[in-house]
Amino acid sequence: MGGVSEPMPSGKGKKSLVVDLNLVPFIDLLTVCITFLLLTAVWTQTGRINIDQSVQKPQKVEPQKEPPKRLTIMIDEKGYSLKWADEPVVTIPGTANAYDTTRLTEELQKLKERLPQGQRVIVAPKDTIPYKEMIAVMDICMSLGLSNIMVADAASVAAEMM
Amino acid sequence: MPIRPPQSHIGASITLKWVKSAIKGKGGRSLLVNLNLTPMIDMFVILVVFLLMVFSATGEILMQQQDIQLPKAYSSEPLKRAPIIGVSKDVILFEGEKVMFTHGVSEQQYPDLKLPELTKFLQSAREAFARANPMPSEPDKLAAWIEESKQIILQADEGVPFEIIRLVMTTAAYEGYSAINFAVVPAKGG
Repeated sequence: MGGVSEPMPSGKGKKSLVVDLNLVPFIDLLTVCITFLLLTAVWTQTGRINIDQSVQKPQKVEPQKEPPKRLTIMIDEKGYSLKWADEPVVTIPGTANAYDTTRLTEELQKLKERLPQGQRVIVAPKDTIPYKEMIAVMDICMSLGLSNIMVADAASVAAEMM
Repeated sequence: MPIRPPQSHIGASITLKWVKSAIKGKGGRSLLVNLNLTPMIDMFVILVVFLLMVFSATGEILMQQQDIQLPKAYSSEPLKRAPIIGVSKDVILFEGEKVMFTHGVSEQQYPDLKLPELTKFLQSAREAFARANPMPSEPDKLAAWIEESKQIILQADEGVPFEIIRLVMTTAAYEGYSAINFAVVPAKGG
């Protein structure tokens, strides 16, 4: 039934070299493989962007010489506002559906050289901003190696962005 | 009806002689066809190769919800198993079970930034986790246990306002789930 054979001249007297290959077990195996792989297939891959919102308690209470410098990115309807330590706020204009992610990447790239290792980035979107805009900013930070991200409320950082 | 000599036959008019001649193909077209299996095996092999390429050993952690469109991100890590909070434009889900509607969820309504309905689900999930994985006594295992116990996956629709996400995040953080994993669709390129 499931054999593939070509009409070849058979050996004269000796044992023929033409073997009728039995393909049935092979087809069985392939069918089982396909069924198994179809059942276990994952069609949509998902990833994660991880943040830790826990407040870490200081090990020793030492009087700090200077407060830790903060890098804050605020997202509102007008665009991004970027503030690093005591430097003036960098405003990156954009509209609700078209934020200037290229310019934000450039600004962060410039700033990155001056940032200490493991600098915490505070991403603070306004309440009405869609979730995907927050993820877009976090994605840019992650791609630049700024993986210590914290999410905050825009109202809580608004005072320092003035 | 004429009287016929006894012989083997199928039916009234089909004799075994005719069937034999049809199979042997004397003169007429043979009924025995040599089936060509090569294209079928080719197709099977291509299918197996394709399916092996898309095979993922970790399996499917997130069930795709119809009304949740995940945002795209270039730099993402593979997901690990953790409790899943789903946030669509209409409902908040915990492990696929409806918790509450998102309509009207705001800071004004919940001034203490906690969603009581979600809190109940998170508390029962924590109890279930503690029952299944008792707290180890060894210090090195304990750190891993604490790290694992605070993981949570947030599977939210890309268009949900940040206010709802914030309330869900603060509720989770209050219940000890402070390591929040935002589920994203890995974007190609980048």
